[in-house]
Amino acid sequence: MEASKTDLQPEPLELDEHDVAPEAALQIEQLEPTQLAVWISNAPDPQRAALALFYLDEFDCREILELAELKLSELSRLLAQGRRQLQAWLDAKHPEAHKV
Amino acid sequence: MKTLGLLRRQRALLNCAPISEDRLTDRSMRSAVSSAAASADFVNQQNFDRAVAELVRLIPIPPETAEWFSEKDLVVGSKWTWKKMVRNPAVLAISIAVAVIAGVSVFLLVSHLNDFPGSATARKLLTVAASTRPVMLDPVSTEAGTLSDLFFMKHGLEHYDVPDEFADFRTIGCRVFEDEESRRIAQIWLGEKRMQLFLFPAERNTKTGAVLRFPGWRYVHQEGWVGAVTERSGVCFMAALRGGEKDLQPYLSTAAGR
Repeated sequence: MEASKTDLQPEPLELDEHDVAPEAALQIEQLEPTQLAVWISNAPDPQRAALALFYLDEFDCREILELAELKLSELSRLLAQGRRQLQAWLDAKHPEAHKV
Repeated sequence: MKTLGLLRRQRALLNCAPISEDRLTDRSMRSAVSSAAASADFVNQQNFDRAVAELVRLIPIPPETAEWFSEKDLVVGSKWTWKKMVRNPAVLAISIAVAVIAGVSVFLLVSHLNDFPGSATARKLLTVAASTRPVMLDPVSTEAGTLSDLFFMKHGLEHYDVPDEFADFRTIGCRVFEDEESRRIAQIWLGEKRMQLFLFPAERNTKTGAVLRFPGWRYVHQEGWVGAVTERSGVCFMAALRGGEKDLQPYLSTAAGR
């Protein structure tokens, strides 16, 4: 337990970020649902919670802020960053769709 | 600086713009979305979010995870509706409490509408009537009207007269006792329908000492008993029996007939 707390911390990962592309919807269609689930679950907290609550499409903004205990500016930053990172991942995974 | 702040907040709101239009519950969010509706960037973002949400819906839930959530445990969006508000236990409890308080208030108001001077004493005497047993009274077999002399001669009670309506009924017994306010009460038991008659001092004005009069007969009710009360010469008379007003009315209407 002690070792996991002090020694075995994951290195912070710098993900690429791309602007959301008009053809992103086509790229997303080519994804498997489980691939997206894995991508979201690998996101660091609180971004993972923000993305999960937002894309569940069951809560309005105020409810998400309460559930995730975030400020509007924080949620906004996490979602915008999440979109850009997801776009970069999509571009890396399906570059051909990006070029269309 | 203020404009910059507003723009920053609008940008923040747009980043959090809901995927479905029915989640646009906040006014500031609606305003931000409507002002950016034509922007290409925002349209891109919305298309992107819709596509992701569509895919999220298709993510299979493992059976062992699905078991964790029974239907009642699911988090329900707190969209405000009248139906939900009425079902809220706190609202329900408060509504019931308010209804009970209103009911009691109306009941008290209606019961006090029929109040008259001496009605409180009359109600207490109805309780006495309910708990009285024949052995508690001195056995006296005579006409009720003749007991006025007995009350005057033996107990010094003036004007303790039984009204004509009840004067001809045969008595089983009678007694004179004091209530908790040391007022002297005469009680007569009749053979007729096990009716009881009470004579007690009428209420008086605390300042002037004048008798508080009221015209005719008034009804009081207590624990299944009914009493018809009238006031004459500073003394109240009550005829009481177990039942309702309709059981006493025939005796009182004979007086009207006379």
